[in-house]
Amino acid sequence: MNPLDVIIADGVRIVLEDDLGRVTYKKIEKEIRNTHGTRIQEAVSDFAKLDLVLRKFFGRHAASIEFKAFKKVIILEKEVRDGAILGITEPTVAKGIFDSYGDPAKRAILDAMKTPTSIADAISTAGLSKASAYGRIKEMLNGGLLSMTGHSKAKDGRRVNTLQATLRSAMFNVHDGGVRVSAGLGCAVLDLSFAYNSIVQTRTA
Amino acid sequence: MHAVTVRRGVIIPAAILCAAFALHVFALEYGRYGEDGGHNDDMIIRLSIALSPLFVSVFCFMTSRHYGNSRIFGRSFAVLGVSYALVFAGEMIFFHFVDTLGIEWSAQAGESLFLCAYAFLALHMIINVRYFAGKLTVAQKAALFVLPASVVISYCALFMAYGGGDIKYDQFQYNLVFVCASSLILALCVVSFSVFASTIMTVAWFVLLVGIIVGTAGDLSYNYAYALGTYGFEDMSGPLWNASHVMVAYALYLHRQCI
Repeated sequence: MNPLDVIIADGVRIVLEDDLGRVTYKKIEKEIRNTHGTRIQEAVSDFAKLDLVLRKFFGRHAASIEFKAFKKVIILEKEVRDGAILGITEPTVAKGIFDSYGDPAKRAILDAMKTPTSIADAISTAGLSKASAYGRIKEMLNGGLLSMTGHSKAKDGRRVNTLQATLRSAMFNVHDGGVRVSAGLGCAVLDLSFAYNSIVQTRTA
Repeated sequence: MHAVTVRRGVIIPAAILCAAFALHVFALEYGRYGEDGGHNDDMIIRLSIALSPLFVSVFCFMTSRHYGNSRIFGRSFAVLGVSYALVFAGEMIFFHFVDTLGIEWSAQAGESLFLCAYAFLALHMIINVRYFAGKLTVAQKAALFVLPASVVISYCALFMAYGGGDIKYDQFQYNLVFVCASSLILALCVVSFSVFASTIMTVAWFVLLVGIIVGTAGDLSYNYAYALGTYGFEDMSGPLWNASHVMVAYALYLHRQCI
């Protein structure tokens, strides 16, 4: 699953429910369970599954529905070398990111993982205890803020996973209506993101 | 085509239309031979025309509530409910003030409510089309101009050909406004149906289209007869409107069933 898609999954789910209503959302959820055997949260993160079900319901207009849902969650602010700056406007998603960066321990882990780093190295760089760090790392991995990038060798020669922060930069704009995030992401994440490609392709078309 | 689709999309709407005409004939016969006779002979027809939009309006608001007042379905069905509530209010003005009390000027108040109802009906379709289709194709955009133009031209041609010598042109122009509005709604509904043609809501939108076509036919019939000064409650516009209202309510039911 693409980490950007995972980050915005909850926002897309909320937007779909707001747009189509709880009853329709429940029917989509049921169809996802029958077709893919997964929960809607997983299908929303893995957009190809959601796309298949939306196409079954709404035909070729599924792309338009997805585009509108993505557009309410993310907007392309600026294309930069090796990536892009995305504005994350959906309140739940933006608040989730804000809360993670607001937590000193999570922030220290994210700072330590700006480049692919093993968990042990990141914990040591961040100066955190293992007990508090592991839970937070797992939480951020599930939420898409951290993503697996490959493997490296530990000091004792074992092969360990390396993780990296998904967002290269994050700027927060706190206003009366909530939080808005300007997030910098690299091409490696963006190229494989269903949501990003949907908004870029539709914009180009 | 699937048997259920044929039954829901063709047989039931046809049955509704037949039932509306059968009830109309029955109501006319009952009025003619009923005990009251004379004065109240068209009461059943008048009441059915006045109350059927209320029935649709209530069903629209129930459907809007069913979709949890959501941004697209909830809002669009609420707008449709407002549209039929305005039709009901207009019909009640005609029923009470124009037909019963004979206050002629209140007819314009009723008719302005009908025009507002057209605007809300159009809004219902625009909300759905804008969300699901985004941009219209060239053919769909063309249909928005060609269909109303052809309906209006046909209406005018029919009027000129069969209107007779004593045509009241001011009344004709006044009624033409309603014919234009009605034909625009028809065109919007055709475009909406083309948008939903390959979705799970195809049958629901097809029945709605048939309902709107029948309603437009009722409007044309009414305006034609009214402009000629030959309108009466035995006119076919009554059963066409009633059938249209029941079909719209049935389309809402199908919509609720499918999504």
